Amino acid sequence: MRVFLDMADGGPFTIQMTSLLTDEQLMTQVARADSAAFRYLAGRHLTRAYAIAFRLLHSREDAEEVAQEAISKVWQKAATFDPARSAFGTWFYRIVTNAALDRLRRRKAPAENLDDHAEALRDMAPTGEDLRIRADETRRIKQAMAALPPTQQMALTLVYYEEFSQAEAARIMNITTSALEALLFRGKKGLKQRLTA
Amino acid sequence: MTDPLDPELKSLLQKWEIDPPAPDMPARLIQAALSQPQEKPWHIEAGENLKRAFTDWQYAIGYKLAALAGFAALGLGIGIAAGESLDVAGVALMAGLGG
Repeated sequence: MRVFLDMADGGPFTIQMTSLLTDEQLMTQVARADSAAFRYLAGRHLTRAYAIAFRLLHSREDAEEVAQEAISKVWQKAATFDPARSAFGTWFYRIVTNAALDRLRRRKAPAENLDDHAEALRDMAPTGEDLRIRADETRRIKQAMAALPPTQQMALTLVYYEEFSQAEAARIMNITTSALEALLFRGKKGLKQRLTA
Repeated sequence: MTDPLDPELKSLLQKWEIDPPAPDMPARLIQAALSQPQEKPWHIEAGENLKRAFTDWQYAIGYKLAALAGFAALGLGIGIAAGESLDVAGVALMAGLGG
């Protein structure tokens, strides 16, 4: 548990048990320009945001940029966040997924980038049969995922890598649960075909 | 809700480990975000603009009121003078238009 003293603007001392506060409560403070609350909130979610973006974009730089875009929006638009309309997580990860999907769609030839990345990955891998096999498997999975439509990739990433429930993932993607199930079904079918071929 | 992903596929997918973010990534991103201004909802923004406009208007209010009173008195004087009967023939004679 982290405790800090907030003496911003010369106001009264307020001891806040930030680890006990919900995301929505922290957002109320962020809307009042409380940078300490923002740091804590961002710390909770940034790594996951990066991971989601990375699984879709396969690039550290792009994933960081997506995470940057999303977390900047949290700070800038904190006052417009309405907890009655959606949970913070839904709002934040929707920004992340939209930014990542936009970026992916803007790319002209993702397959070429992937091949380059796979080459780099093989070059970087230490010598040894196990490591080489692991690198090859990673490359196969990445290529199989990248060959799927972006929305299927996002559905698989949210549910199977980031372990959101299907209901949460559907809310994040702003689709119905049955639409998400359809994306997952088609995504898994596509992955199986490519990975077992 | 059931998870219909078969264990074989699931274990295969788990083999893909992502490149971890740079250790300083969270601090960098947070700092960059904090350097940007926060947006306010339109009604708060409008309220603040009104308040600011009212505060600006109050500047040198004594002089403004004095000037307003002066111009009002001047306007009233001119109005009263214009209301009096005017000797048009006399004015015309003085101007040499009487023939």
